[in-house]
Formats: sequence, structure tokens, C-alpha cells
Amino acid sequence: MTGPILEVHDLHVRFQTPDGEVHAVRGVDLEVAKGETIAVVGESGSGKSQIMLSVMGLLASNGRATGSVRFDGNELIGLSPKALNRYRGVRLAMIFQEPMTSLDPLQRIETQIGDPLVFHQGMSRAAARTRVLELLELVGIPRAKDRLTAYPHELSGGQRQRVMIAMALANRPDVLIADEPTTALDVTIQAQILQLLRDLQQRLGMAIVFITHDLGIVRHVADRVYVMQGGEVREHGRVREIFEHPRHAYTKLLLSAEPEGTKRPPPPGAPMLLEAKQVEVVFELPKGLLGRSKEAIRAVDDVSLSLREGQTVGVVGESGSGKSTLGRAMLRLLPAAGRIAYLGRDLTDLDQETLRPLRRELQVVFQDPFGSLSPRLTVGEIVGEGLRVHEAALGAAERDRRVVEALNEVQLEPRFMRRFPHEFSGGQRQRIAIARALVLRPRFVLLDEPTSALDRTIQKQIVELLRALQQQHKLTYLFISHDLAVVRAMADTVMVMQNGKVVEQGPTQRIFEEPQEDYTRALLAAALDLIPVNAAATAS
Amino acid sequence: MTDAVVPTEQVAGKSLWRDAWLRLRANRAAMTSLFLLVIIALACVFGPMLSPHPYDRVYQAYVKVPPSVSPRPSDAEVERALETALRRGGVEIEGAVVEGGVVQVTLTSEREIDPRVTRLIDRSDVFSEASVLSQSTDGRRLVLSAMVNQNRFLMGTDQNGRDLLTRILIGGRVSLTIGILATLVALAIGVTYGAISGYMGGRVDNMMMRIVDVLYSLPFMFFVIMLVVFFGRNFVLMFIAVGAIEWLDMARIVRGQTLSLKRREFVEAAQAMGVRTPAIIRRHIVPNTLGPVVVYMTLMVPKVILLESFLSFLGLGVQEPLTSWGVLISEGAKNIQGASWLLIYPSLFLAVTLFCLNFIGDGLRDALDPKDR
Repeated sequence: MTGPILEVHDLHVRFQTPDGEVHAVRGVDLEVAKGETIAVVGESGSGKSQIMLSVMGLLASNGRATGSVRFDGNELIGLSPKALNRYRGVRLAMIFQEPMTSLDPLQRIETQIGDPLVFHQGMSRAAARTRVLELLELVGIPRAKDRLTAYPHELSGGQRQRVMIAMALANRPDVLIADEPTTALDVTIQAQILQLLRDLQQRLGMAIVFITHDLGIVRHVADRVYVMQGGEVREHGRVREIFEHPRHAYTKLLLSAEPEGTKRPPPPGAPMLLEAKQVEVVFELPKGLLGRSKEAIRAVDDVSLSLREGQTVGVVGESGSGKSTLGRAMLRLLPAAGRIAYLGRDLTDLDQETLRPLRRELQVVFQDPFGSLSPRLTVGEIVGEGLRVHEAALGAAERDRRVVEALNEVQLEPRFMRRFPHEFSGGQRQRIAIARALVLRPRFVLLDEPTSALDRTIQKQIVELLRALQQQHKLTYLFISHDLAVVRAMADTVMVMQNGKVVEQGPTQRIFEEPQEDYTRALLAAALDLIPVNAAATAS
Repeated sequence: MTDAVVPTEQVAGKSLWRDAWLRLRANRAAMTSLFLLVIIALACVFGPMLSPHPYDRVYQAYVKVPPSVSPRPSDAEVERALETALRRGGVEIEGAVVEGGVVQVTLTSEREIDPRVTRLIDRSDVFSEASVLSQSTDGRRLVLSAMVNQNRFLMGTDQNGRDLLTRILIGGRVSLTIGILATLVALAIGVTYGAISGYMGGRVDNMMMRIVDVLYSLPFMFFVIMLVVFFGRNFVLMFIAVGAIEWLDMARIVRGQTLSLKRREFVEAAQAMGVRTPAIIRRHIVPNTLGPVVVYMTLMVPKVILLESFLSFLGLGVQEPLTSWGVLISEGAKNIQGASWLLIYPSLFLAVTLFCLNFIGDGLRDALDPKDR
């Protein structure tokens, strides 16, 4: 192997904030050889993205990088943006996490990919068009010729990520930096994109730097891996070695962060709590000019399910499968057809006013721990809000006591109840959201992707917390997730959804071990292929 | 159940507002502006009380005098003032000596001088307590003395001989009051209306916004003229008129914010918890729209001040002798050739205030923007 093409030595990144200096990267050494794939793994806040942003000269305006970054023998740190442009976009390219927002919505695909060619390489329009077509075919976009004039919103998430990759490849870079390239995508799409990147690397011989929090991806694609925590590299080495013989405690923790165990089944003969029959949710697209409704989307199509007390039903599906819509319909947060009964009482005919007393027993925890807490209220106010509604007679002191009790249950320090949500980490915020649901002592909790936005180690803690709370309070969960590993650890029965319909339904173990339907099998293959960590850990 | 005890020692949080304030404090332009604005506001409130000149006092002797730091009258002006004062007295001024605020004048005449000539002198703004010191026996020569009233007009006087500085400060009171009150009126109506419209959505939203559209389409001037015709010109009417127009923008902004907020999960969480609609709007929607609203407010105050200036310029605003910056500027514009300070100083005050408000608005926008959080 030849010398490293990209070499990072003793890199420090510091941010000036109103609260003082934040030292995000603390002396990182890292090197990438030609044609090699490395992965930088770490949880959020570990500084893994900041390293690559400083390589590209894209740090936020209050950030400063010191140390050395050498690309093909040339020092990049301290170069003016203009000098840096000789490398970035040309020999150093980057793709980002969010394919929805990294493309300009007002430009056609051809212009987005072609403009850099015209400006950087001085190609003619016609030559650029041929090259764009070539690139689109290279990244596997079907009917590439027709797609030239498409706008980004006409493409799916996976296709958009392919376009991003095509843009990055346009100038035949030596190093491709991929910052969480598949995190926003469904598992099946994720597998395809990773496959594509692997193919491209073999054909074009470039080096790839993966930044990811997902160990499954690392194992799948990388030659070498750097494990980061708190702005420092904890451990690095060949993927096999790291996975089989992790030396650092943090690496071991990461490797064992897969949610473990399964849920104990509810006692037989538990009463039926919530029952839904033939639920249907139809969204009508906005009316045309003449007031005639043109099209309707069946988001949930003829779904039935039943929940006994203490049971957890997992609903699995990719984005757009209607799983979240189903959850909201069950709680009458959306108008739905069909019959939904809570303890034998039909909810579908009740208006919001008569439904209100029931709301205290039917609670929700949402996916986004950043969006589900009102940013201008203190934690105490957020958690106590339900009590104001449903137990209006409580005095302020008594309400505070109940809030503290709920915070204790989710293992948050009640000292912080006068703080605001933005002062907490993602995992802590999710605990606050759980406390908000628990304070009313509900019987049913809808968990809508409660762990998806969290790091693996935090995920594991939240899963364990949810299971413990269920045990303690005889809670019933409807657990919605796209993450099969988490569902496996949480649910008694699993329901697989696609395009609003139930594809397969059954006890968790059977679904995971003997899937009947093709779609389920594809889903499992894509997902479990990427999370072999447990299997490897138990095998060794 | 666990025995929960509310901890006595609690960690106080740093609210987003406090956070924003810290950022704003780091913004030098905004802080300088805030400082200047406070000074201007304090000057407008307390300045007229401290000023030696009432804002409606007319100094006939000092019509359109240019700004100056030295007190008036100067020695040359004393003589000129004497001449003016005694123009109708039929006397000649032989010599005048100013000493320590007292002028001694010797008057001569063909005929006998009436000692009541002192009244003529007293009538002038410049002199007071004129008294006859001595008169020659034939009465045709008279020495009298009078106190010289020293006045400073730092920014000169207007075409009626009123102190411009005092008038600017009084005008500032009016302009700032209208600016702030009308904005508050617009804020109260606009936020409530916009939040309700946006949150309710559907048909209610449609109806409420169409009403706004109808009001938008009314010509503003027509509306104000109607109000003035029906209710006569008065101060309160001004900000009702302005506020009644300005809330429309505010309502649209708040509605837009609300539309995106109501899709947020914390609103959905509140709904799932069974919180009633008014409480959701009050506790979850409105506090979260206030960021952009505050920014818009600082930009609206200058807009309202300009609007008031415009109305006053047209003669629909405040009435003499009360004034506002708009009135002063419009009068200044008429006198731009002979007395440019009449235009320059009021414009300077208005411009500085508008600049400050705009800088503060800009600073607030940066401070409240959570983007680089």
C-alpha cells in the first residue's frame, strides 16, 4: 500500500460559544490510504463530524481548527477558502446525511450535477450532459435519461442520496467523505446505498471515509475503524480485530449496546384493553380548482389489532407504511373509519370533549425528543401539564410532588425541574417525555419510535426503562418502530406494515425466526445484515 | 409509590429568553443602539420638564435663530433687539453698554421722552425690569437700564420663535408613544387573531384570513380620513387607526408561525394529553411565536413612527402647538433654504431612532435564531 492520501495529525477543534470555549476535538490522529475505506464511529457529540468538516474547511463560523491535515502531501489547515477550493469538491468530496435538504429544490438534477463540471472543469454544456448521464447510470438511477430534467422532490429519498453521490463523484475525487450517508434512509434502501458505495469504490479506486454511529455499517463496509468518544480516538485498528477483540472499555460498551433480552409475556387471561377493527385512514389530497377531490391516499387500510393489558404490540415498517398514522388513529388524534374500542367502549363516536377524561389513560411518547417538548416551558411545567388538565383540584405543592415522583421513576434528578428542555441531552429529553406520560398513571402508552433519534447506548437504557415501567405499572404498549432490533427486545407480537396494509402479524419470535412473507424477509435481511453485532458477540 | 419529596435546592434553568439576552449583549451594534434609544427615550420623557423653554413659548425676538451654544443675545444682538423694541418709540439710541447681564442705554430724541418707553423694552423677550436711571432736565435725553434675559437655543428656533430642542423632545414623546402604543395594540390583536386562525385551521382559518384580506384591501388613507371625519382629530385616534392597520401583518406572521408549530410534536403531545384548545394556544403556541414577533415588533415601531409622520405631514396628525417628529420635519422641509436646522435636527433624531430600532431588531433576530445553537 502506498502512503496515506489523507493524514490528520494532532487536530484540535474549538468552538467559541457564549458559555465559553467548547473543545470538540482533542488531538486526533488519523490516516487514510489510497483506495481504503475507514470508518469513524462514535455517538452524537463525539466530534466525529467536526474532524471531517475541518478537513473540508466547513466548520461553523465560531469554530477553529488547529493541528495538521495533509492531503496528498499538502497542508490544508490555514488555507484560504479559495486555495482550499483546489481540493474540495474536486479531489475531496463529501456527501451528507440528509438527502432531503442537501439538494436545491429549485434546480433540475442535470443542473445540480452539471454546473460544477461546467464551472470547475470548463466542460461544454453538451459534454457535461453526457457526463451527468454517465454518472446517473453509474449510481444506478433507473431511466437516467428521463431523470435529467427532474426536480429533487420528484425523487425518492434513496434516489436523492444517489444523486448526491453522483454529484460528489462528478470530479473523480480521491477521497469521498460520507457523513452518516444512510441514517435517514429505510433499511432496505440503506443496504442498497452501501452496496453501491462498495461497488463504486472498487471500480473507481477512491478512498472512502465513513462517519457513522452505526456499528453494523462499519462492519459491513470498512477496512479500518476509529472509535471516538469525547473528542478523542479511543481505539483504532482493523475492523475484524476491533470487533473481535475490543480493548477499550468504550468500544466494548458500544459493541454490547444492542438492546438485549425479550419481554416477558403478559399473564394469560389479561383483560382486553384496546381493540381496533378494520381501521382505515384516508387522506384526501388538496382539492383541485373546481373543488373536486382528485385523489385520496389510503394511509391505513383495513388494519385490525388488539391489545391485552400488559401486552406490547410492535408495529414495524419503513417510512410511508402508515405505522405512525395507525398509532395516531388509535388515539383518535386523527379521524379514522372503523371501530376502536377502549375497555369495550367505542371511541370512534365520541367527540373530543367526552374523550378528554379518557385521554389520561391513553398516553403518547413521540420520536423526536427535541420536538416533543415545548421549548419555552420548564421541565416541571411540561411534566405537570397533564395534571393541570386531569387533576385540576391538585394544589401547586401536590402537583410538584407528583412531578418529582414521575421524574424519579424515569431516573432523572428532580433538582432539574426548573430547567428548560434544551439544557438536556436527547436521552434525558426522552425520559422527560416518558415522565410526562407517566405522571397521569396511564394504562396504555403509544410509543411512536421513542428510541429512533437516540444513540445505541442510550437506546438500550430507554428500552430497559420502558420494560421496567411496564412491569411495574402493568402498562400496555403499542410500540411503533422501524428498528427491528428494538422491536425484538420490546414486543410480544409484531405487525409488519407496508403501504398502509398489514403484511404479516404474529408472535415476535416466530416473525423473526420464520418470516412467511417476502417483504418481511427482505426487511429482516436488510436490517439484520447490518446489525450482526450481537450474533458476532455471542459467537465469539 | 415512592415517597417523593420536592427538593428544596433546585437548579434554575436558563430559559431561551435569557440565552437570547446573553447573545444580544454580545452584539455591540445592538447594545449601542439600545443604549442610544434609552437615552433618546429618557430625554423625550424628562427633557421638556428640564428645559428652560416651554415647548409652546414664542420668542418673537428670536424667530428662526440658528443653533448656537453661546447664549443669546450677543452684544450686537442686544442693540438690534433694542432697535426693534424701540422702533415705535421715536427715540434714537446713542449708546448701549452691556455689563453683567444688565444693559445701560442712553436714548435721545427731538422731543421729550416719555419714561413709559420702558414698557416698550419690557415687552421684548430679550429684556425685563427696565427702569429709568436718569433723565436730562429737558427730558430729551434718558438713561435707562434693563436686565438682559440670556437664552440658549442649542438647536435654534423655529419660524415662530419656539425653541427647537424642546419641540423635538416633545415631538419625540408623541412619536415614540404612538410608535409603541400602536405596536402594542397591533401585537395584542395580531397575535391573538393569528394564533387562533392558524391553530383552528380549516374553515375558521379561511374565514378569518379572508376578513384580513378584506381589511388589507381598504385604502389606508381613506380609512384614516374617514376616522378623522367622524371623530375629529385626536391623539388616541391616531394610534387606533395605525394599530388597526398594522395588526394585519402581525396576524399573518403569527398565523404562519402557528401553522408550522401546530405540526410539532409537543403540540400533538398536548392534544393527546387532552389539554383544551385555549390552553394549547396560550401555553404552547403563543410563547413559541414570540421570537419572530418580537423581532417584527422592533421593525414595526419605526414603521408606525414613519406612518404617523406621514399622516402629520398630510395634516391629519397631531395639532399645534403639540407636535411630532413628522410635523417638525415637514415644517423643516418648507424652510430648508433659510433655516436648514429646522429640517436637520428633527430628521437626525428620527433617523437615529429608526436606525437604533432596526439594529436592535436585527440583533434580536440573530439572538433568537436557534440555528447556530
